[in-house]
Amino acid sequence: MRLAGAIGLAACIASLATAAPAAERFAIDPSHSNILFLVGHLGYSRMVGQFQEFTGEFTFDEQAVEGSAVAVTISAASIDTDDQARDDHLRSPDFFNAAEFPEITFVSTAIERTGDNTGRITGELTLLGVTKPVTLDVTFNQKAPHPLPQYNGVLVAGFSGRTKILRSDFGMSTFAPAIGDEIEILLEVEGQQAP
Amino acid sequence: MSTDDPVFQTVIAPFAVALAVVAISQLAGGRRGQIFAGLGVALAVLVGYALLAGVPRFPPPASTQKLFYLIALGGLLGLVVDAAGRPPLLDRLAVVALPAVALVWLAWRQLNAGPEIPLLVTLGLLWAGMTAALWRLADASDRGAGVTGPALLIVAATGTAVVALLGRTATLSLLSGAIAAAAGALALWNYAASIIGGSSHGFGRMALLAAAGGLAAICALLVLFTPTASRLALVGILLVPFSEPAARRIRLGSGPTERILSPVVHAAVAAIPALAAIGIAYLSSGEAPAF
Repeated sequence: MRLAGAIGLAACIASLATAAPAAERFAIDPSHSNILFLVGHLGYSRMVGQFQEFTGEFTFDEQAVEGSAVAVTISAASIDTDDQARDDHLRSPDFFNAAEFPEITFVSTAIERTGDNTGRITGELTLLGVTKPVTLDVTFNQKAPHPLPQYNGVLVAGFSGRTKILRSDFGMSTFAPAIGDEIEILLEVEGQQAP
Repeated sequence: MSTDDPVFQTVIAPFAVALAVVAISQLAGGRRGQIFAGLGVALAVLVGYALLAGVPRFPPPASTQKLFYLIALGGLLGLVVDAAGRPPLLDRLAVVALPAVALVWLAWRQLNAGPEIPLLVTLGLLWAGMTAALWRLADASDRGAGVTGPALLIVAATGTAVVALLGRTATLSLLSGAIAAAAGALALWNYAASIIGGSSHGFGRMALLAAAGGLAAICALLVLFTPTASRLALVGILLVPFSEPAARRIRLGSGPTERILSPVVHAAVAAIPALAAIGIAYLSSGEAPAF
């Protein structure tokens, strides 16, 4: 009798687990994603730059966003500010020190919902060997099968993210504050559902 | 001039700190005076670093931050050698060991990730070059009333500053400038003492291992982590201490004329490889960044 009860309970749990929508896993699509930054230039303007090479994935559970997660790895050497000589300098030990620290990483540690389609992602950003907590304000844009036929209806999810960091917190203080210490980071990310 | 001005941070402040401590060293006199003067040079370079980039946390994650502690380590090692009366074995051991420790620490992240043959070859060549340059500078430092050593260091540091700047690394350029300024204060004091009379503080191992050791580490950083810096130009900088025997062959007579002209001639001969290095760096630098 006791054994039959236990089997029944296990079957019930198993069926619930099967019925619950699991978090879907997405691989970041670099051709439709951008990691951009804005940095003050001598008080005149804010210069725009971006990283051209990055990889990453995220899991997304619309019903329980707390169970979602994000991990991104950026190639520091892929920095692009539309000026080759300046990009060389930005790769040098004055700034990103790309030869010594080729990767910049972000790994989420907590995600919370703040509105119908907004949330806050807290994670650890590692830059120049220094790891600091960073919080991103994100907007969930859409999740739907890709409308173009060549994509074979693959599920795509898209987000926008914004945050600000102080580069000096990571030991990057060259020319600050003339070249702004505060960096605004803009993320526009699309991910295709991973098989 | 603002204290945020890079010229103040890396030239005026290090020069003033070194000159002040070197002047105070006059009160101590003798070997203690030389140790204090060395302390002044080491302290001046560290002050320049701190003003420019702040005191890095310990342990420092980045190689540029490790530089601060390597300068301090060089000073400490030099202090031990000077305080012990510079016994030859300990003296040379310090000159050989400091570059080895510096290179392993600077490249620790790469070594830890699984050392590759090209990296090991580069580190081996760097160690040989850094050790040979420090060894030559140590030999030269005991000659010329304590002016020759700092004069060679000024030339090498100034050359490195320009090569680093042309190689797109302003921080390392400015730190090289701080080393030149700190060595300049000691050179000026010893030069004046050799001409108008007074006690020269020489160029003790504390000054040598902190300032020249720091400069050698800067060159290593340029080779290891700055692909845009000309490695060929850095070979020219490496040759600066080896110019001293050639300069010594130039006859300047004796007495006051020799004392006045000798450091100038040494610096002028040392400037030849340094200028060649700057020329090579300029030709290979390309367009300046648009800041």
